[in-house]
Amino acid sequence: MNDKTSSLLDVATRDLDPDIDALVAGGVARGRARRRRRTAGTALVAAAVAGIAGLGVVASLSGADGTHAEDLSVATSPGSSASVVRTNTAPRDLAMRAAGVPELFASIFPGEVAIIPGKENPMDGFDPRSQPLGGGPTDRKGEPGPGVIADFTWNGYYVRAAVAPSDPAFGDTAGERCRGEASSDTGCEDVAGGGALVSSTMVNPPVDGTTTVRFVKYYTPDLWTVTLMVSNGATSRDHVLTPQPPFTLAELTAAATSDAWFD
Amino acid sequence: MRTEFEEFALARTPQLYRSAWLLCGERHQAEDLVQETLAKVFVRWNRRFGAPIDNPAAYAQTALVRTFLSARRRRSSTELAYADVPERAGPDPAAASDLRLALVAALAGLAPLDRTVLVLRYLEDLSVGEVAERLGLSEGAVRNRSMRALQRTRPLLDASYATARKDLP
Repeated sequence: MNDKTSSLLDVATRDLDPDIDALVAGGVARGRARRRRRTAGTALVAAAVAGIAGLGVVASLSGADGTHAEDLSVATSPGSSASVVRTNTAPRDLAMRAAGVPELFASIFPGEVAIIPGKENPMDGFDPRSQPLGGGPTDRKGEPGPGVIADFTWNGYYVRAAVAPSDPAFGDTAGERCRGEASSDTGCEDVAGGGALVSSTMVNPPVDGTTTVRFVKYYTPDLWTVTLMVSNGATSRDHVLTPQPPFTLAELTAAATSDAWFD
Repeated sequence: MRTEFEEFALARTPQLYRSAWLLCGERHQAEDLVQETLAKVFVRWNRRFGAPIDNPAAYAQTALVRTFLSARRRRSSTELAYADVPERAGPDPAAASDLRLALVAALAGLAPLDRTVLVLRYLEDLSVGEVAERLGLSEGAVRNRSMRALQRTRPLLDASYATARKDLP
């Protein structure tokens, strides 16, 4: 029966005669249009980030940690152009390998990116599920595959960017996984479209250089996490360059919730 | 002068179209599906970041079936295309064959995912494991769907087979 089925499908379709040139031309035209839309989308996020930057500077001058509520209200409102509305979909593919993370970051925040000495190997295959505190490797369908993580500098400031699967040990939705992982200090905020967000600003103790580190972790509806962490120093723990990190929580949130990380 | 992508697309489109025609059962939708697939591969092929596609043919085939399944999940997929693609008006040459008509009727009775499993297994000649990987299913689910699809289509396919036997190698 199986051979018969194969033969039938083969015979029935063998002499189909589509206009191949027209199909390819149409596919290329649609592909170019898609690429233009993607480029425009990335530029929109960058523009939104730039627009928010002015507010961020004012807020950070008035007191670093007080910016939290105002920052997040911009990026997590339902109408925000940077929010991803995605429900019940298969996990997207990543738009880059780990080595491409700094360059993608620089496409959102134009600036000079460089690998940090001693951390020359951005990691592909990053999977917190396989770490000791993770939920263990999962073969459940519908879960994202391994992700990427990279440490680098942006205009001299330390940045860590990671896109990784969220941990199925905490539940089936982005919100459950966010609340499962979040500490009581940071809490977890639902984002329009089914995602969830954790963010914080932390001042390290003197032994760790008194650096200020801003951190955003976005749990996407398709069960990825996008983590962005930026310090006001050349590393996370020393060489303070300015009183505050170069990006506000709102800017990091806009970047983390953008589609730029995914195909 | 053709680009590398265009060379690839010209070489792969006939096979993609065969799968698309079996999945859609209709020429215009199959053409639309192939062009959407090529558009997705084009974007991936030309992206600035990340590694090139390891296996473009497999990537394109996976994109095709996923695009088909996504479209079928949307409400609009229940609408039939009719006059939106008028550039080749006239009778559908693909429908001229009794074998094809019988095949379309048999496949139309299947769920889109079952139909996809059947096409990948028996037209693309993929293993159960490969089909499972491309569709995000377990191997058991692929076997079950494949068996169910064959059982449901067997009467029609048997009749078609008898009719088409003279054409078979």
